[in-house]
Amino acid sequence: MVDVTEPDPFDAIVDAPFDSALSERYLVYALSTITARSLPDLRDGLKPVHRRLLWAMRQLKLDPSQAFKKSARVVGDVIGKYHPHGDASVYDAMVRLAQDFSLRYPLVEGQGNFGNIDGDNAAAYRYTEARLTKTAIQLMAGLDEGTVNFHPTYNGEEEEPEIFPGLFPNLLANGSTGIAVGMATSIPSHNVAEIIDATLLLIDNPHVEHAELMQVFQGPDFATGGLVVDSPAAISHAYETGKGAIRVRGRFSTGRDAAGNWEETGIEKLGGGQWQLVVSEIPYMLQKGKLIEQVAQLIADKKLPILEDVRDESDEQIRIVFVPKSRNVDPELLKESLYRLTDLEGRFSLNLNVLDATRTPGVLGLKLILQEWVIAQIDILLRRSQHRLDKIAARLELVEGYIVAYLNLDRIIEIIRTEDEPKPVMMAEFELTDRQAEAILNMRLRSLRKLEEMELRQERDDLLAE
Amino acid sequence: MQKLLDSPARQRTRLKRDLNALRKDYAEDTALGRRRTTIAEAAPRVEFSMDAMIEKAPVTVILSAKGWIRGASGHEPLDKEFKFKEGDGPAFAVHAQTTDKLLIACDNGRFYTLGADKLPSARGFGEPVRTMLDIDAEAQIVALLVHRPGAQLLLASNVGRGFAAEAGELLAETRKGRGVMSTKPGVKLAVVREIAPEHDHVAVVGDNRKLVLFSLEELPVLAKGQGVTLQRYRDGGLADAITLKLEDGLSWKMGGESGRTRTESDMRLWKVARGAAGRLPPNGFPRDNKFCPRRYSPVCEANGKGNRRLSTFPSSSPRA
Repeated sequence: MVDVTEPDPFDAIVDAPFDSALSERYLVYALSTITARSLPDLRDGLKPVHRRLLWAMRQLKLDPSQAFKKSARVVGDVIGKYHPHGDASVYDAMVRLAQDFSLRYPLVEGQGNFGNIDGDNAAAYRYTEARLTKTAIQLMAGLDEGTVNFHPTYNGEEEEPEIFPGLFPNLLANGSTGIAVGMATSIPSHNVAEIIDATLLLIDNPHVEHAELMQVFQGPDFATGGLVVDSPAAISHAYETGKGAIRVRGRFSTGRDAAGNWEETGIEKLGGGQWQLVVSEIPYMLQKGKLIEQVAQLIADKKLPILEDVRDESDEQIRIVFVPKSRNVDPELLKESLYRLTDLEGRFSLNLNVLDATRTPGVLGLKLILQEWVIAQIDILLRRSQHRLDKIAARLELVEGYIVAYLNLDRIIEIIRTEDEPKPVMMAEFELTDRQAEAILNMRLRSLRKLEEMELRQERDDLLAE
Repeated sequence: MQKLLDSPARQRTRLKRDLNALRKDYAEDTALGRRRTTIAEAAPRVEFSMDAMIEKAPVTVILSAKGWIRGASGHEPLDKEFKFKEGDGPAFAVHAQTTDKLLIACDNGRFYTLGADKLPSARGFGEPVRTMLDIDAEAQIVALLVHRPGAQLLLASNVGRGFAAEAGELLAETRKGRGVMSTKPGVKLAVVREIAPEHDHVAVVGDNRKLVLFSLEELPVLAKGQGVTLQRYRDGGLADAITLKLEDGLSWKMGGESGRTRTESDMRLWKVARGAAGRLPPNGFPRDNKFCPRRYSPVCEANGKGNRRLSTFPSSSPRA
């Protein structure tokens, strides 16, 4: 008979007030969504799922120079090794990293159908392939150089980095959006050159004024282009406080000239006084299909009688054509009405809510974000340098040992051939350290050929120089 | 390297060097680094009313006795026989443009506003106006008018009180309408008529078949309230009220098939101060004590009033 006197602790019935039991559990959930799901880290701008994705892809050696690998392998590795969640959510996260209309600087390069701006979904992960982009490599540069801490994965079998050490300013460059519990974040993407310019200003003068930063850091730079139509003062205020909203409009333009500048009116003359309006860029996060549908509904409902028709003539380049009811319609009035009645003008809310180095969430202004980032990067720089120094010291120690061994090669061989315990003898005779003696003993016979004094001295000098 | 670890200045220099190297990859002249979003403050928004977006087209508004409303495209003759549901019949019909606002007055003193573009088509029986507006269940519709900016309206209750109101102040923004004439139990808004600019006098007739005439100047222009006493009664109440031009006298339609109009040109006999009891009307005045047939528009064409757009169409025939 099985002894049943010892009850399973998991079967025990504990009396607890309903509200405290509920609030305790909800608090745990809320904290975990805030610190380990929905908010990006200030230092690398990534949420855990993205970090694990890129880390897994790096482990799969999906460099830009290597061939693509099936997305299914990446997704499988991520959910199997690092991220115990749904495959769909992981794949969706990867797809987004590959879409050049979602990310200003894509971190994944996809092969196959990765969705489009019309709102169509990507193909299933068994059909698509992926690899890292140069940007992603830059973001992860230095992972092997002792720059960041690693922690065990959820099952303790492997390790993953806590953050990525690369110099690429991913938080501001690619932005982030997320909804946690009781707080959310919404960060637009920005231009890397401008971020770096602002950072350089800050490094030169830690007391730089916010207004000076905004001189070089102009504001959002969305992946889908468009126009930001707020006043510089309003934008500056939003970045100073970390909260605000930004008005984004589609771009009325018939195309770019040779120098890459956009035509500004979007009016296409058709002869005989006839004209039509062309939109070449739409606001960020707006699905083009939805916009066309919205305009078509306006026409059907007769809410916009000055508009005759809308046509989607997009290929690689977006081209939405608006046909006015008559050539006498004022183009500016038509534009203005489209901005007002459709999502051709939208708002992107700005809420710079991020996790700082201590995993504490907070809404930070631009200057604070850059400051904290610089501190993190200097810390990484120090750790990398220290790591390199340690490596040099260790190697130097061995090289010194090898030199001793070379100079006394015959005696060393004699000791090894005759002594039962060669190590203590060697250490005593040549004042070698334990590691040096061990390294000499572990040397292969065939490397005796390579044990040339000149080379060793050269290596020692090189290391010392560093 | 030891120096780097010891000197924050060297660290900053090193970081700057690395950042500058990274910046080259994302410089403005690269495809990836070029700014995509233009930051350009928009010109202040040109204020334009969405009403301007309504296509202007003539429409004939038909409101049935049971409160079903519809809009026939084009200006149909107002006396045309429209189809109604079983047990329903014609009550009001006006000519309007789709850009116009319609004013619907109810006997509880509330005025409701309806855009003439929002009307259901006249192919069917229309829609109950009570589904489009929050009209009290007990309230009856007294008048349907086209809002004309700047016009004044004559409002009179069944107890003989009334005032003039600016039409613009009667417009409501919501479907709840706007309370204009405050009514006590037993008091109802009875007459709403447009005051033509050339009119200078008000004629009021009671259920007791007595008529008073007083100057329009004695009638206050109010935004809301009960108004002032127009005519005093011992029994009964107000039957009808109208404004007119004294020089032209009072005209009314003869009953029967003749369709003739009769005019009493010398109305000075009835002119008194506001609030008097009045005296019997001229000979031949309609037995129902109404200045003009109540069918359709509350604009009395016999007096050559107000609605000039209407005047080009055949006048409405009296109710059979």
